[in-house]
Amino acid sequence: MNTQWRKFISVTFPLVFIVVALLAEAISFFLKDIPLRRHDLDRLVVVLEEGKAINAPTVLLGDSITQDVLKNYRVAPIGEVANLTTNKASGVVGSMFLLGRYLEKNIPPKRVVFASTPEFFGYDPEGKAAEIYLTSVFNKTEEQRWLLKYMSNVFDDQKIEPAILNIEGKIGYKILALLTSTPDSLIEGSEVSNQMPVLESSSIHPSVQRGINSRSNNPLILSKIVEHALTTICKTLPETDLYFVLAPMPETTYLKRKEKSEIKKIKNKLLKQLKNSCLKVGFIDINEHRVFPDIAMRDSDHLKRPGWTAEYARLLKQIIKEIESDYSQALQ
Amino acid sequence: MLFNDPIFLFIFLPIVVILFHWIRRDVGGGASMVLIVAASIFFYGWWNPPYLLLLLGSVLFNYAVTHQLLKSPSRLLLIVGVLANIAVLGYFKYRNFFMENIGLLLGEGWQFEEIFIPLAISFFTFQQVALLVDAHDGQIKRVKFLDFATFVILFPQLIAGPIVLYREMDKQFQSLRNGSGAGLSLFGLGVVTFILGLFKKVALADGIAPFADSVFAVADQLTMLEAWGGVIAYTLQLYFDFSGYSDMAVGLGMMFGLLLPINFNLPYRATSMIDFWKRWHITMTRFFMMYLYSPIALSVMRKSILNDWSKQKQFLLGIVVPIIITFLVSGLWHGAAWTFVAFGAVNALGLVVNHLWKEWQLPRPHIFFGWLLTMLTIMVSFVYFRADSIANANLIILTMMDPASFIFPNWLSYYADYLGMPWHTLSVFSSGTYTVRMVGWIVVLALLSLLLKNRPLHLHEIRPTVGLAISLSVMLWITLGWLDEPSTFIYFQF
Repeated sequence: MNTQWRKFISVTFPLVFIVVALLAEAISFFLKDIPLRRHDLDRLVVVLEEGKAINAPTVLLGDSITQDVLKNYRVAPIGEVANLTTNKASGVVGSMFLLGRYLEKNIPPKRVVFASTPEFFGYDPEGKAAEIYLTSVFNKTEEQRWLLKYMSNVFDDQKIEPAILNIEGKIGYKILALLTSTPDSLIEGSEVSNQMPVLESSSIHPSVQRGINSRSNNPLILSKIVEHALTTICKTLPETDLYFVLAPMPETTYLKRKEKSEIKKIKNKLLKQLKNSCLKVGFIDINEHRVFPDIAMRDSDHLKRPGWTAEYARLLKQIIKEIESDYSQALQ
Repeated sequence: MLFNDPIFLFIFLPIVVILFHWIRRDVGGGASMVLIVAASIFFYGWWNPPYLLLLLGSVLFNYAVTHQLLKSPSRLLLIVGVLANIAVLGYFKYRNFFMENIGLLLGEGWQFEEIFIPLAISFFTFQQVALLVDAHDGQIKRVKFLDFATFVILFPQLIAGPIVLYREMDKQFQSLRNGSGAGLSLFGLGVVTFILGLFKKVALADGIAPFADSVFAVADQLTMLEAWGGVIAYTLQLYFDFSGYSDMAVGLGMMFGLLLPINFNLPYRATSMIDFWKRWHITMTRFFMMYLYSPIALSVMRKSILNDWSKQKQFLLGIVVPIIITFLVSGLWHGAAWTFVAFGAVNALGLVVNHLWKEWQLPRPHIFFGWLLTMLTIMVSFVYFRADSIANANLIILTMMDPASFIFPNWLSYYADYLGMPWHTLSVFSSGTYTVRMVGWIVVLALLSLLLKNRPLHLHEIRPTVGLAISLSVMLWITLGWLDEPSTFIYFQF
């Protein structure tokens, strides 16, 4: 090895190697307060943090089947429903944290409506999904405390990660966030018509049918972590009613679940679990009022657009209206 | 042990490098070779100790045969030696494949228990077969056992090549033993080459791999654009995975003062199939050209001269047939499955067309057209290389060519409706974010595959500057950040 290379290997390279790491750490430090905007959930959090107060009487939570519909349709007059729906990846725990963020700027709602698939209540975020959709999004002290208490498997507060070993997360996404505009309002679609839409009736793709069959065979469970999250919501909002609206399920799945009394069991479990901690708990199964044939699905979990999604939006609008009037009556 | 395994990077490699150069300087070159052989045995045994016996047995057997061939070259002994090697390879790698296919031909559904294929068996078998042939042909004058063992077992190239010829290593071994070798003079360049290879594998190949995997996992649910995306992603993954591995092997060799041959030379810049195979897996192509293609082609040539064959017959038997045989065998060398045979067949077909084009003196196509045609051919061959079955590979290729399967993803439904095109929730392009990421990876890696020179070929251009230190540091840090789940190299299965 000649002198130049000897100097390079023993001095220049190791020194630069350390300097690069320190530089990354410094950049990460300056960017640490920039909120991430990797996905819809990040953007929703930004809106709740930086947008105006909404103070809606109803907060709507739920997973992607409802989120998908609410991107296109509004199910109540403007300002009446705060749309905090997200996708399944952050779980009910993510919805709980979203509600917590909402309450930091808004008065407590009169009612919280969970409009989701029943599978949402059996899902606990794990691995990469938990990191991307939960622990890296909800990092306030009280949120971390909750995670440590109930989900220590996905959250490690002792983990020290130098910025240089997570350039994508600690620098890359932050710079991307700086380059994109700040969202300032919740997603609001156009108001859904009260008329029945034209529904798609084309045949079903074999892969979608396989997905539906596989969904039907997965047992429905209520996760312990979800129980804790729901109880936390009720304790945080002692004056608020909680409603569960079971979102559309493909007919095959729904009938199988009915046959095995899975819907009834999960309903009873939810009601029993929350009886003592919530003011009022309601349970509405949309599938009892409307059959969603398998051909209504564009995949095992989502409805075809625009007809079937509009139909779900129309039904959801009716349900929210009924819940509101019921609530008004209760007040009288 | 994988080259991208933290145990290898932070424990095994530093210890072996330090001990090697310390022993080389203070004890002697021979002793340092003993150390590297011992370290290589440990490296191989880490994976599955019982198969060490097979490797060591193979070394002892082939050394004995080589020794005998050097004393008195005998065609019979050469045939016995080569057949013994092929038999061992055949037993472990091809027995089930052949028996199951014979069963199918006889209408019997024979199923055999899966045989665990010893790591690197194809590589160490081929290197030793080449050595036996060279010893018989007088290309090698003498072989010392330590040199022989180092040649076969040397851990930088043991698992997945480059496929080294003894004649390009023996002088380096001699110099090492005599104390007149490269010593530490190549060490710095070795570190640079190794880090570049590690980055190619861990950051680039493993980065794009999930996108390719997601497409090949749902071969029956793809649309035209998804199929294209997956095939291009895999084409790039394979290149960065294997060229990354090869760079690491060459870099490791240099850290020990040894120059191993390069395996890649910007293959995706090739403008013809002949050009491509001069740039892709160069040492394997060289092996097949020297020990399979050339002997067949030369013997045909001799016959053609003696029998005054027509030009067409000469071309057919002297070029087309050897190409087909060579590439079918090379396909099968990669794995015991019809998909690999199909991979060889597509490449053979491409090469035959290329030779025919030259033979008929057709006008030379525009360089871009030549490049495009070459890339399309190799991408089709890589579909067979990657797919689980011929049926799935055919399905993917048909989808790539089927305009009816051009369907917009649901998140572009607005534009699809505007254009009057069909749209659907797609299996792979299920969200805009995922699709944009995949396209981003493809664009960046495609540019790098065309622009990033293969460093071992351009050693003289590398200077130990601060700029180099910055690039290396960034690459190494990114790599270390992604090292938590080391994934195996594609070519380790061969």
